Amino acid sequence: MTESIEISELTKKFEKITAVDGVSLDVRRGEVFGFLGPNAAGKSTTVKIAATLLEPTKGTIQVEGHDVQNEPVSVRAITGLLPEDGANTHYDRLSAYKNLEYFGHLYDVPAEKLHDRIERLLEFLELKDRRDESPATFSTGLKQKLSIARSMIHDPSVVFLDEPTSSLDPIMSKRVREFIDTQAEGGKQTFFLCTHLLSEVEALCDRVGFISRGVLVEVGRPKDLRRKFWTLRTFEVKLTDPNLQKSVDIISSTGLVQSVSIEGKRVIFEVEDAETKNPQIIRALMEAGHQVVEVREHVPDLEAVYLKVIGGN
Amino acid sequence: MWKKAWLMARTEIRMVFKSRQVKTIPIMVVIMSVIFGGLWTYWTLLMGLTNPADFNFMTSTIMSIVIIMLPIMLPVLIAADSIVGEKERHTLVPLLATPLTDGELLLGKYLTALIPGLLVAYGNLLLAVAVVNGIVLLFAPHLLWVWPDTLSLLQALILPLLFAFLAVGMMVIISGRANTVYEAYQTGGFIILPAMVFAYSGFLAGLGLNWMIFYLGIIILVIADFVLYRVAVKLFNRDNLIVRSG
Ligand SMILES: Nc1ncnc2c1ncn2[C@@H]1O[C@H](COP(=O)(O)OP(=O)(O)OP(=O)(O)O)[C@@H](O)[C@H]1O
Ligand SMILES: [Mg+2]
Repeated sequence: MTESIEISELTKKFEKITAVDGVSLDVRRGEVFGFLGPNAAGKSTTVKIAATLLEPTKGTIQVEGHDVQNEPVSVRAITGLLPEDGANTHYDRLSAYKNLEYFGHLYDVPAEKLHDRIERLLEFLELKDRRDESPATFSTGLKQKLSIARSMIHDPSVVFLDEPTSSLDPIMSKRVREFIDTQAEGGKQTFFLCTHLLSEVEALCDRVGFISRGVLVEVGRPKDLRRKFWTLRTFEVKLTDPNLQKSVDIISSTGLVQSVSIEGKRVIFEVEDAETKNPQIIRALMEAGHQVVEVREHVPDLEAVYLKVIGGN
Repeated sequence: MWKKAWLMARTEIRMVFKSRQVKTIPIMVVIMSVIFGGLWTYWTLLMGLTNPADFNFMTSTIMSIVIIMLPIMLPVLIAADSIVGEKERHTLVPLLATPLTDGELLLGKYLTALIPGLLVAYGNLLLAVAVVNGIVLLFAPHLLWVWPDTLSLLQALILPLLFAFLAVGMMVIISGRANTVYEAYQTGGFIILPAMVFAYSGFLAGLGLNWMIFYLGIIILVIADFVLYRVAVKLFNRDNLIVRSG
């Protein structure tokens, strides 16, 4: 079995709202999976069901082969959760260290390992010098990092992170991303990441799922999704000939492109099936005596893909 | 089951005693036992209520405030702080994400309220008995051990237990509605009130301490405890707790 999380036909209804609507999704072991969607899409609800905090109305989730409804305790034992608004979920009456120690005990971390693990997490997340203070005295970012440490305290096989960097400044976010990246490198831990931040997904995730209004719209590698939604590719051409309008006319007259225009000192064209058409376009330019210095593709970022997928829904 | 629940209760007890309201009760209880209990006993003797029946009646009446009413406030406040407070302070979700079973969680909450509640109630009972009989020994030795009689003693032993149990069940049930510990404290008043009525019903009926009222009260309380416990078990599951707290 290589599936770490298997979601099948998952539906969750609250009184009036269907928060999750027939979602099926597999996440592989060792994968960093990004779960993307606008507000109220059903991301957190899905995570809460996977973490056995909510019960599905229909469908199932299996985490490492354990069913969330039939074996909830086994699921929780191997699962780490950074809840939404995780920064504000600490016991202010305990020190940061004691918070982690308490959860270590609740997760059955052997006493001889617990101390080292806490130290290691505090060290890595740069919380060490604040360890004996109450989280109440922490900034939001520090609290968030403590939540991240808490979600990893038992070295879980599967980690659900609901907007891990939402309250962090860019430097903190980067550090946390690096932390997740390092953890994921071993390939033993599976990460399921809810986020609005496309840059985060782009930087971290092996695969991504788009959810909108409870419905899973797309799943795939960021690269593949881009290709799928960008059948029309955009290229810019740099030429030695300063008379760009002439180049535009030549490209246009090939009848191969969707559009062509001048932008600054370059010619931009859009084309379907670039593999076969680009050589012909370039040959036409060369034959007319125009020297091509450079051809570069405009790669759309994930944000553009996202807007297209979600917008189209 | 007990190991995990105890682990949880141990940490929670340490935490609830950081609440000023919770901390105040044991201090108040001890002060009342020593000063109020001592002065009252001395005054009773001074007024010449030195025949055993009168002395026991007066002392039982007044001391039930000290050994029953005050101590039962503690589990009420603790239960409010540890159950509704968990919601107010947003610490419930990570706790529910641990491998604790629903039963362990609920047991942990019961232990959190019961253990300090009973320690304070019984410790205070010992103290009150010592103070009253200490005064008696000094000024009217023939009244030694007249108070507490068996019935007062049984009341002081059983009622804090039954009321503490009631308090936890009650707080679990209201935790769906109450969002702040403060609201929960107010609801706690509904527990103190029947306790007061019960503790004084014998006196209100002009019967003094009365075995029949005692048995009747115990039966009612045990039934109430059981019913509330069953409701609490039913409500105390993750889906319900999370849905209602968002
Ligand atoms: N306890 C609840 N009771 C009723 N409705 C709920 C509850 N929890 C969530 N919902 C609804 O379910 C839908 C999905 O919510 P969810 O929190 O899963 O969204 P999300 O994708 O995490 O959004 P966000 O990006 O804003 O965090 C929303 O319409 C929300 O209002
Ligand atoms: Mg969310």
